[in-house]
Amino acid sequence: MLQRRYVALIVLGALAIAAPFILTNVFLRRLLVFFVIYSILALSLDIIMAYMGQYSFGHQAPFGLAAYTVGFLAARWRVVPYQWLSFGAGIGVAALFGLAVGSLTLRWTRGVYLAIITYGIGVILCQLFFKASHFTGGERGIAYIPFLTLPGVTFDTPFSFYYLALGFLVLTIYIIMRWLRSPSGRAVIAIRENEALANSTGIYSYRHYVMAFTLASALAGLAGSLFAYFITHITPALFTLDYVVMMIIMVVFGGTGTIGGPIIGSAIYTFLLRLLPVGMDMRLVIFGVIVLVTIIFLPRGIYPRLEAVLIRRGRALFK
Amino acid sequence: MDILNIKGITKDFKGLRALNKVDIDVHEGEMLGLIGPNGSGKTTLVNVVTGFLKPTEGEVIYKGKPITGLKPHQITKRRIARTFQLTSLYSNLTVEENIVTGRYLKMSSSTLGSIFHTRGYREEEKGLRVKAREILTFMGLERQRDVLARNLPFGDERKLALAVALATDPELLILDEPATGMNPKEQEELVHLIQLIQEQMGITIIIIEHNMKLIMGVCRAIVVLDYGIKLAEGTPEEIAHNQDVISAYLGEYKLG
Repeated sequence: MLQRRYVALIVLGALAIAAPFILTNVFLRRLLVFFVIYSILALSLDIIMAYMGQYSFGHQAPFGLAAYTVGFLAARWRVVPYQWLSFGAGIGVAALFGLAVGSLTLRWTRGVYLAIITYGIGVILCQLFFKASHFTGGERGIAYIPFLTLPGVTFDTPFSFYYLALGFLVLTIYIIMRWLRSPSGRAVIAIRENEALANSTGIYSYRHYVMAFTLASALAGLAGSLFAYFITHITPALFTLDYVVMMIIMVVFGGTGTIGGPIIGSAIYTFLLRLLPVGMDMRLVIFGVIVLVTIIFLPRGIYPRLEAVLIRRGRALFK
Repeated sequence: MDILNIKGITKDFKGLRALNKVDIDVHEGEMLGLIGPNGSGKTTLVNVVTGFLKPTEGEVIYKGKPITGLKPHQITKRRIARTFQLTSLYSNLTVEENIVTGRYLKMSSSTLGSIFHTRGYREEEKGLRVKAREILTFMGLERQRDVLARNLPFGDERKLALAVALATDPELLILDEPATGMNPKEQEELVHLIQLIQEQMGITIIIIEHNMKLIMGVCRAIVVLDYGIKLAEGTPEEIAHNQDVISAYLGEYKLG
């Protein structure tokens, strides 16, 4: 059993490494990078949705804030001498945002109320970044964000950037999996499962929910920093509801509460929506129907079913 | 010596007085039975002591220090554990995970330590498993270790709830109708386990029970609540012959 798992991992790893060699056209390679960045984003939202059992309709906020932090520091003010410092600052700002919003709301607010409050925060930020144009650049946003570099490499093509993003995706998966086994991760799951019992065993809900919310925001910030350095031109559209709806679809469609789910959701969303051979309006309609049908027939998302089928096939193969 | 003093506790719910100036002293190491007809305020009292409800008036003193108004997790930290009247478990986790999660207060690893998978974290993790198995063996649940809690038979569910409370390593354990819904044989087994917990582990126990016979058999001290008022306290013999208690319990039948 364990060995098969490793075989599956090795196949997946090889596929991930080979992908940009298979998809040689620049457009497809760009999609590949978006897919990886959105996977990080979807995984970060799933911390809130699956493990905290809550909804955030403002999860585009830490994503956009990180991107704008990078925009300000690296392109507009050009104050930070190292690109990686701006990159980290983006994550830091997103984490601080999560800490602030979490501390202010999570003591009392859960469920629908949390969804509405986070939605409101997203709307406020969206307006702010659109309207305060002398500060934020308004609709035109911030352009000319420089490239990230490492000794010997400049991440200026989708090809090289893909591997950078992939590295961070692997890191994200690792962090989430380890966090789930940490006292704090266990506490969050305990609260979701049975809050009164969790409290009666000494778990302080507020503290661990704030920590989880901060972790989710920081990881969304990681995606935001990557995004800014990849597209090099950011606009306030990052703060629109489109992004958060996109993330929610990826998570629910792919399968919440799993690692594979948000990633598959992100893959299908990114590729299907861009590659359907019809006009853009029609694509959205077709995509809507696909999502609807999937949710009806696979309410737990695609991934759990896919995993079951693959395991069955794998067994047949190894016999 | 007293481990817990409940002093003049009153609890009002919008005009309904659920508890009225209740005083109870619990001696260290004893098993105290708390009985009373339905709606007499037993569970409300447990919720006040364990921080799930704030009293309208009065004080709860634990080992000489006031704990009134503290939150549930702070009270558990002072080593008071409880179970719930309706079975309360992490139903989507395995039996062992339920216990491991119950050991939360004994975990000292930081989140970063867990993420970096430090040696300290790994050793703590191993220790948690060993301790969880120890508790499960004591409760006779070791064979169900990997079963999801929601798939347990009813009797084992109740045992697991008790095991989770025990996992917090309490000095005072408050059991809210632990034997409800069990058949007589299971009840007997559970009572035996609870006696072991009191005698061998030296844990003070407050047990709420409907079943008079059950409680009379194991508790040396009994408190009777009725309509939020402490009606009587004493040994089982005293309680059994107390005129107020008899009419409180028999009164129900008269009306019916």
